[in-house]
Amino acid sequence: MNPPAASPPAAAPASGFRRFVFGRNLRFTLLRAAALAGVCFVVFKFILLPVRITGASMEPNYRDGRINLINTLAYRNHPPRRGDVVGIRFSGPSLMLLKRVVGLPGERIGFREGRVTVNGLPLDEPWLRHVSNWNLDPVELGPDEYFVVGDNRSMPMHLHTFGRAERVRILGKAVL
Amino acid sequence: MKHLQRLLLLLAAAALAWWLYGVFFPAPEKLIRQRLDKVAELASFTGKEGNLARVAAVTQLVDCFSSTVQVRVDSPAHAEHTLSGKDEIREALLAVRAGLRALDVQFRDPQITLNGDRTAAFVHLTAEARIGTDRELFVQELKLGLERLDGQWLVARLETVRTLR
Repeated sequence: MNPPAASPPAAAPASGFRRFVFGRNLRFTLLRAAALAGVCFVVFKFILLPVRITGASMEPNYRDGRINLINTLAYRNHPPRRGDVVGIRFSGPSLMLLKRVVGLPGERIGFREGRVTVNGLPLDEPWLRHVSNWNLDPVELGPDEYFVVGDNRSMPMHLHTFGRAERVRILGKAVL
Repeated sequence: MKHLQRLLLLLAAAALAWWLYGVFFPAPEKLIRQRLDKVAELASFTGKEGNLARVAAVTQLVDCFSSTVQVRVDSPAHAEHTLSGKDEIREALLAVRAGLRALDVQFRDPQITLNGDRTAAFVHLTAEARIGTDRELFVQELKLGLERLDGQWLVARLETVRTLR
């Protein structure tokens, strides 16, 4: 009696694995991978800039250590709006400030008991969670300036970076 | 096939020549970047640094500045003040090193503009500093003026820039 032939199912997992990794046609798989890498490079280098939030100035809405994306195409068709959370560049895009726009060009912006005032009237700020005692005399914004501030006004005013940002410094809008 | 081999060999030789030219005759921008990297490295220190090492690092750092250097600091945290000359810079650097346990400085996004005769340059960059083991970053935009003296790029002017006004 002949011994049973070598069982072919033993080879099946190996070929399944190869097919899973390399696809039916290695050349097309490599092309697809290269195209995907190219698209990812363009998207995350120029359009959706990934940022890691450092610091407490936007808490509790944007927590320290979280990842976010800055959409650089957000303001192609319209200027930044009040309430938008924007990325503001320094000398380049490697580091940026994450702040909320509260004042638009030409407005007079100040703080009264922690609340933003726009042309002397208090601004409704649903994003504000902490009360504070910040007070600042109104400043008039230029034709190309936006007033930006963080959401966390429970921290001392002198430790918080806020003020007028030129339009060219606003890189884009936070996505998340 | 022979032509293709020759062409590839020619391209490789051209690339090698280009690379060697860059090594032996570096562009001013490259030299300035190297100088800035050196400044950031010398400005950084750890808690393990001894007194001699501290003085040596400060001396080396001061040598990166020109004798007529002017440093103007104007930030919301500090009142505006100016340091002039190497001696004032040395004193300020020693005071900083004595007051902090550790400091890690890095320069990001340097934008270099050379003047016409390429003997002076203007650099706009962002300095990133981490003090001690804090996770908090200190970020400050800076403008630097550099001059080429005796083949070396030295910082002649440094001032802080307010990102938000």
